[in-house]
Amino acid sequence: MRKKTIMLLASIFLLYVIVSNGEGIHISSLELLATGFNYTTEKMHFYNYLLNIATMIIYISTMESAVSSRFRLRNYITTRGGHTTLVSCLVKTAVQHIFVILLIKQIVYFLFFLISSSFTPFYLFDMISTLLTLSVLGLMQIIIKLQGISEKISLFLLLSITVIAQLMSYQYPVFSAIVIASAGWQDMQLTMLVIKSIAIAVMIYIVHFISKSGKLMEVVEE
Amino acid sequence: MITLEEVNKELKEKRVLQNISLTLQKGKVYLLKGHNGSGKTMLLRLLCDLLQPTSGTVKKPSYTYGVMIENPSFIEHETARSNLTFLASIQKKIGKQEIDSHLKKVNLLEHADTKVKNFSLGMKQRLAFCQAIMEDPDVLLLDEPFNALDDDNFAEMVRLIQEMKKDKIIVIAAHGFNISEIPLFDEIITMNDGKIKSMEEYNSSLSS
Repeated sequence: MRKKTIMLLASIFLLYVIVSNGEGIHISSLELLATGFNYTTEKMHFYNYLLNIATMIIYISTMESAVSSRFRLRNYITTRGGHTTLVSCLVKTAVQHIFVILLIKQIVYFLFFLISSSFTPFYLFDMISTLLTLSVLGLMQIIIKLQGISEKISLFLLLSITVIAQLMSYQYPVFSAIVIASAGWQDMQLTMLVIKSIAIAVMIYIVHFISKSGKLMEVVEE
Repeated sequence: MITLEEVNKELKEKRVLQNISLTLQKGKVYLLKGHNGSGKTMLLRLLCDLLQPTSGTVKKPSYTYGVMIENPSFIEHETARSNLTFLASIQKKIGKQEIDSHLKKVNLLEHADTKVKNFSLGMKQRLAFCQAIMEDPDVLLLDEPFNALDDDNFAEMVRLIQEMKKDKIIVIAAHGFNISEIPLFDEIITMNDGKIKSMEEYNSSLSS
């Protein structure tokens, strides 16, 4: 876990360092990478967009691999504590990894703050939005898994949704609700956070419904 | 005691278990025999509540289960001990000492801190057996437990099962081995196409 976290920190830090902002290592990189947008030309910055997708691949695959490895123990967990225990183990694992990602972001923010001696108002939104967006994605992963869908398909599905939503969000701001941040996040930050919170509530209800239905392992084993 | 009465199970509109009626008693080791796809694993899943019957009744007290179903699956990038510690944390019945003593029983103590991804299939099989027995469950359900074991570990596993059988219901699903090699079973349940073809007592001491 420690080795994996260090690797994760190194790769995320590297992505923030190589993002294009015209000022070298600067705290504005954090916003540019998270949005993949060019505020000067008011257009998508393709290079930053690709780096943004790379960070999402890292976040999603980190959670997917953690949840999947727990899920492999499903027979052992379920016979010890029932379906609810299995679901709560998966949720706990996803939450643990979301907090690892948040911690890494904190470290990156701190390092960039030290280097550039300036701060960004994007910080708070980024933290809350990362927490909520990754929670939605983590819960989606769990629901997909409980339906017996394979790890590869789950990964492909979530990555496709994120890649497309990020791209569409520059044209249609409503898609920003699916990603961590996009252009014009300042104008609709509250709306986006509310939408994400509602999505989490819906996902929690679905997960709860599946775990209480008693049919969980049948779907998985078919 | 576990009693199944006229139990049927359908998955995707296919009947995988048909009219299963049987009684399993403590202190006995049952061999569940049959070809691949005969319903052995489904029956094991149903016995430990991983599956619910479509119709029929399953009567049993609230037993605890130790299962080893299908291929042994673990968190590959974690050590044997941390896999077992995680599983033990669910029921909180046993601690580090008991985990180590069970690892020793299956000859894995010296590999306790080795990552599971570096284990051979036989070692994974023993680790799966270890997680099944470590909390001293009332019911032990083992699917092909002897796969990939060398002669010594095979004999050791048989010895351990024999030692534990007194106060447990033990069901072992297996196929493709000479039954007289394993002086363990009290009853043999033969399955075919999701049905119980026969159920007969077996005197292992006579055959050996």
